[in-house]
Amino acid sequence: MITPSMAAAAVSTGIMLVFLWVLIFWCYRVYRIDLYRERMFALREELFVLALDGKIQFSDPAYELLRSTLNGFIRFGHQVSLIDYFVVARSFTRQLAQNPEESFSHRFDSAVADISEDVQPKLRKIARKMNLFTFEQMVIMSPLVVLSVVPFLVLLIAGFAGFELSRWMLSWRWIGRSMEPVDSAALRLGRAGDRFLAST
Amino acid sequence: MALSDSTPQEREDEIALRALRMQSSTSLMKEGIRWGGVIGGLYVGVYLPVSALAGDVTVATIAIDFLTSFKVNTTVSVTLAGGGVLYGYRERRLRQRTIARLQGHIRRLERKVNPERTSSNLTPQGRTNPGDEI
Repeated sequence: MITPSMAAAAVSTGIMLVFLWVLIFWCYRVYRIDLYRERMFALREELFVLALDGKIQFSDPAYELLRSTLNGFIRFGHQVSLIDYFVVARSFTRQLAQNPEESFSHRFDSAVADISEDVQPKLRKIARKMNLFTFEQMVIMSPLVVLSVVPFLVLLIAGFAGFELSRWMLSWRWIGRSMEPVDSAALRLGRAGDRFLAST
Repeated sequence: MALSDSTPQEREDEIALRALRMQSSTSLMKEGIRWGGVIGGLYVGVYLPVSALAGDVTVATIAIDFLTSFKVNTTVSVTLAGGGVLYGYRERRLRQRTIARLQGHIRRLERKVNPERTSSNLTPQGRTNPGDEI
């Protein structure tokens, strides 16, 4: 038999569950988007400082390519998730296989080859960090992952390992390879945004 | 026009446009998951208990047994309170991180123009200088 006090307790727990859902899927989501954009802004700034210090020219294709891609990720940071990754990868993998010279990695490698050797590792590090942050964002922003224990484990491990873990993950080449379709899409979106701004 | 017949510029625009179209469909999917959770929570947490009081004791009884369990109630309330505090703390740290990044950037650019620039002497995070606190 359900008593009024039992029903009241059930309603209060139910409302708390709804608030918890709102905290995860609204508040935390907005925070993660802000954090992701902040990281991308910091990388763009790192790139800008390289050019400001004269280590790379503002007109170098490598600078323009990385900046446009970072702009694409910043602009569409609210759309970075596993769902979007699978949709983009499914659509662009064949397209990029047909025109490999238009892929982000191909363009980036040939653009970086023209830069002095002491600056090349710095540019590659910025690109790897960009991919690592985007990969992390995709995992964290997935509703199924959020509802599982995975993020708590990741946060726990990351908290203990900190910087060392980040360095180790930066060396994962497969992150760069698997991010290829997303990088290429971000580059196009960033460039489309630049052209739109230039035309207005 | 087939993508393979177009110029690189046209292909680039076409890809950007296609990516934007795909994003609108995935946005709809994600909004569905978010709002589905809210509606599901309100149904199980509010509608079912109220309908159980009105005499409908089938599925509602199971839901109420779950929601009134001490463990569930405590876990949800502690997670909500802890999550809220953690969220506020992380937001504050993000704000300070942004201030530190922007301040460093502005300082670097201003020094290029005026190496003799003076400073407010706040910390890089925009907090009061410990030496200025009474």
